[in-house]
Amino acid sequence: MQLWNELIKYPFYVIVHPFKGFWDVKYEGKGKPQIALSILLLLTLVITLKRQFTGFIVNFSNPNTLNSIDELIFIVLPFFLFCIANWAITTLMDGEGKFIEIITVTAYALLPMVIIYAATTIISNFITFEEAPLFFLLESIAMFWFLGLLFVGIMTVHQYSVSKTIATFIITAMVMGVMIFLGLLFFSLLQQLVTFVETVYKEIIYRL
Amino acid sequence: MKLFIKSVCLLAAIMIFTTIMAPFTSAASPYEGYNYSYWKKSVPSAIPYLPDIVVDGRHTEYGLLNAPDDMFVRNDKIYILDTGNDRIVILNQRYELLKEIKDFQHNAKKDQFSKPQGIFVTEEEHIYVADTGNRRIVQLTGTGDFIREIGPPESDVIRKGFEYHPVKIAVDKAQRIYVIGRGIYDGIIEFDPDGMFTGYTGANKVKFKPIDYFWRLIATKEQRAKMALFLPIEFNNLDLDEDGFIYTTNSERNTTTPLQRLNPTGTDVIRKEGYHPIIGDIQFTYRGENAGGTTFIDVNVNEYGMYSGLDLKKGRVFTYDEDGNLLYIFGKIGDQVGTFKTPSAIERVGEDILVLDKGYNNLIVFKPTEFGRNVNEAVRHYHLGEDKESAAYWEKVLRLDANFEVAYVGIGKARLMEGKNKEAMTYFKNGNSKKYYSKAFKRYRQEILRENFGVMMTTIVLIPLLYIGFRVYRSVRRRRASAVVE
Repeated sequence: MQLWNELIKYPFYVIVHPFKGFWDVKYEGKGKPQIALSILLLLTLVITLKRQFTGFIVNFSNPNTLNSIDELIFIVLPFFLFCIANWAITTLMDGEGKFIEIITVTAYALLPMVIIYAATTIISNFITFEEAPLFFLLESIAMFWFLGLLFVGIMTVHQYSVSKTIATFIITAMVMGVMIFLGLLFFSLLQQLVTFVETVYKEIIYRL
Repeated sequence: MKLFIKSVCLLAAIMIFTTIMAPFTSAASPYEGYNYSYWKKSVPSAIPYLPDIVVDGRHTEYGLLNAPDDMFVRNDKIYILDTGNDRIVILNQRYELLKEIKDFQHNAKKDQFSKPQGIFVTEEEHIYVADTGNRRIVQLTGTGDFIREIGPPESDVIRKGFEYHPVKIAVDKAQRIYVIGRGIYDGIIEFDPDGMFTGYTGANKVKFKPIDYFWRLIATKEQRAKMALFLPIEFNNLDLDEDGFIYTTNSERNTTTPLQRLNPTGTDVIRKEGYHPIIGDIQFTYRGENAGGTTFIDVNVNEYGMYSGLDLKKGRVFTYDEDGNLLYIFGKIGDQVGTFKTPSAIERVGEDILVLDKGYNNLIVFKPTEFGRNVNEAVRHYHLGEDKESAAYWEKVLRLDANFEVAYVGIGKARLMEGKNKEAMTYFKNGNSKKYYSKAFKRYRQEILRENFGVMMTTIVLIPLLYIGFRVYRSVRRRRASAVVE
């Protein structure tokens, strides 16, 4: 029972009481990284199912191009990109949050998305065109709920003021861009290097 | 051993026999059949039309055609405007010469055309010719007798430097005359039945991008003078449908409305219920030799609202139904029979499609294949409101081309009419029509709810009742138990 309360019920408590909840995550050690990662994987699963099983009327994804691995990449990768960028920035900006805390808070903030997306996927199979706005309303509620929780979470974990949190978010976005750029640059250079070595090797082989 | 040789011989004989007897259906098509799926991908499709005969005037009494620019079909007579020879050639249904009009008596003098580019024939078989070189419209009787000529439009609204080169012409049932002039971007020139200029109709709106406006703002006066003017696009051809609406084509690059259907006030009212915008090819390259999309040069609309646009650049014919669904595509630039060099005009004789080729100086007659005929019939029955017959033809179409999404929607509509909602849903899903799927689903949901109303209401009422009963029972037992303890 203790375990149930701690692990399963606590994330649900956090999403409706974010200030108190995230405070306890930081100072009472109530957040668990294992739970956080489970939420992340659950979100991936829900979004993959959502792409496939959303009702025909509101499903705009092409079944020929669905790929579960892609979903994994497009959710897990940005998640860690955000966490690393945020961590990198906040260490320089007097943030009090540890990396584990950032991951926990960000993942806990994703929980409304998991719940609402699962619900809308089921609901969407029973609605008509006229009721579709309800579906889109729920989807946007999930998004805004997530953003709100993330904001409160990051603010609490780093003990920032509102304006400083906004500034951190903007810089985090920029840093994410820089990281993607560097990553692409690295891989492109690596590719060229490999091609170069390969060419030299072939050249030698042919001439020997 | 003997048996072996015998059986080999027999096998060889069978093989030779079947090869000879096999019909040459697929090999005869000089172009590939394709269409666009809901996901904007080109998918293989059956061939809708195949070239039947080529008419170029060789070994006939009227001689070779020379750069024919336009043609018109009225009452199964084919009027070819043989621009290079300044004449009209009238053919019958079997493509035999009925009459040739080379000259006519005008004010007791012999008069001739000069490089005419447009022809229209009214229901009374009066021939209207846009006599481009002589800058006039000529009206003749069906036998080639001169009736009148209409000169350049005269009015205050005509801008300075206006050059009148009539190229295409159409006359509606009220005898109003619509003329398209080369380089005229004000719209279609409209004359009243007496030949007086009444104004322009259907002027295209000027379009420009915000970025162009920005550059114009920061440019100096000299730079601005050198920039291209924002001019409305000019039309290049027109056709009239049964209700007197004008179908026009224009050759603006990257436009989203190359085919328009103008109502009497000049507004585009073409129906865009199809999967894609009515622009011909949806996928095309942006660079290279074959860059750019479709450039329509002519349009033909038939009596049940089906219209075909002729693509000048790639020599394709795109046929749409009245809702704007792309039905089929055929044709190609090439040098085989049934391909074009410079297609210039398209017309229909019944279900046959005629394409005039200015480059090869010929007229190609395309006959519908089984697939094309079934599509046409399905569209015709749908236009007449006979959903059931239409669905029967769509089913035949699907047997020939299972990729044909429009057919699924057509069958679905018929099933919906019959009240087979579940079946209709499946068809609409296959046809990727969310709108109609929603309609079918709504009815299906209602049906299910109505059928199971009793069961559902019972559960809704029973569950709380049972719950309350359980609670009451438990508290009574507890009270008793505690009473016993006391």
